[in-house]
Amino acid sequence: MSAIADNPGCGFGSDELLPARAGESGPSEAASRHLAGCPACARTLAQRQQLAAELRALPRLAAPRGPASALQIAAILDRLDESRLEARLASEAGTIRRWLAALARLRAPETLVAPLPALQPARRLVVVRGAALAAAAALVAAASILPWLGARSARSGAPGAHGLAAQTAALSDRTPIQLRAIERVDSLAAGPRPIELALPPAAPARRGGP
Amino acid sequence: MPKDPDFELIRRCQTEIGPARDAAFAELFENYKDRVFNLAGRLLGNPADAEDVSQEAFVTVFRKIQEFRFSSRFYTWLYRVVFNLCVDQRRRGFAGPLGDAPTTEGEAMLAGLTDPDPGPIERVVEGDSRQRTVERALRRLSDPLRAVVVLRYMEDLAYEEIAEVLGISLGTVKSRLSRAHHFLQEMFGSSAT
Repeated sequence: MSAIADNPGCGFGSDELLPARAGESGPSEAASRHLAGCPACARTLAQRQQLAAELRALPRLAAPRGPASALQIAAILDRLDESRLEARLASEAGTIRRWLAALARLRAPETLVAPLPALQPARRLVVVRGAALAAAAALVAAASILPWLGARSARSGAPGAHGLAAQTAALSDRTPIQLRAIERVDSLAAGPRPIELALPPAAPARRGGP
Repeated sequence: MPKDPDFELIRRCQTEIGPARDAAFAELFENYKDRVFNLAGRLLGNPADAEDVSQEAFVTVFRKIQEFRFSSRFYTWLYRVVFNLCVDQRRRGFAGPLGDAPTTEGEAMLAGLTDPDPGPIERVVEGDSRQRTVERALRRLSDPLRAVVVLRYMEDLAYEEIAEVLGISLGTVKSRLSRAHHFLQEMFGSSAT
């Protein structure tokens, strides 16, 4: 207890003399017993009680009532609305920032580098360049092999390997103009094709028709 | 702990939305606006600052009322917010020291409080009213001592509640109150007895 002894030779703390709790009417039972035999403390208590009564009797400051006062519920609610709006805007701004950050992470170099966080930057660059070279080589190889594969398929007689011109010639007896047109497109798209092989059978079939 | 007297009202503030919640806020505001203004005015000594701090205190409390869990009385929480805002205000230097040189506005505020027609018993030396003497003595207390005195004698808080509001120990509350008694009685001299 931090009681401060007010009266020399007494040792009883003056802060023990007043009731500890608001609403209590007097000092504790122990303090009352002490007061019965200590006139000095009784006098101190009387002074404190008078002081407390005077402090309690001071008029309370009343909040200003005028419409210009800042202490109006309308002004407070307005500020609450503003703060709610600010919080909402901040939340939306946060969402947009997260989207932008996600978009920024989608940039190609970072996407390539992301799986390699443990490597040194120089190493990462080597790996990325190596991957790019490998991808380019794969593209070149594919471009070289695909025509060869097409020719091989044509020789084996697999459906579709002759191209559109050959199939059309086999199924139709229409005019050669149409065939030539198709052959031209076909030749541009897939390189040299056995055009002569497709055209001669078409003419006799027309002559012998109805 | 006994149920908070503001429990139902605070619950409404926490659970209602829209106009119903605003009505609960308004009721809580009406219940406490004078007490909040009184505390801020006593601590700052300046009505304009007290008004601003009071508004800020209500905005702060209403904004955070969802976080209130009834671990303490609502009014101790509210007083704590007011006290902290007053400390911030004083730290920023807007309010200026109370001490021996009160501001003109502060003097005007006290003049408005003084009984305009004191009776003969209320008259003390130097032609000043007793109430005015007490007011001035209160203003000359240091901020920590004045805060304890105001919370104890004007707001009728228990020592434990004062400790909670000011964020100090129970022993510190009692020692500050005792020092405030000494100081005030020294100022009053024999007229206080």
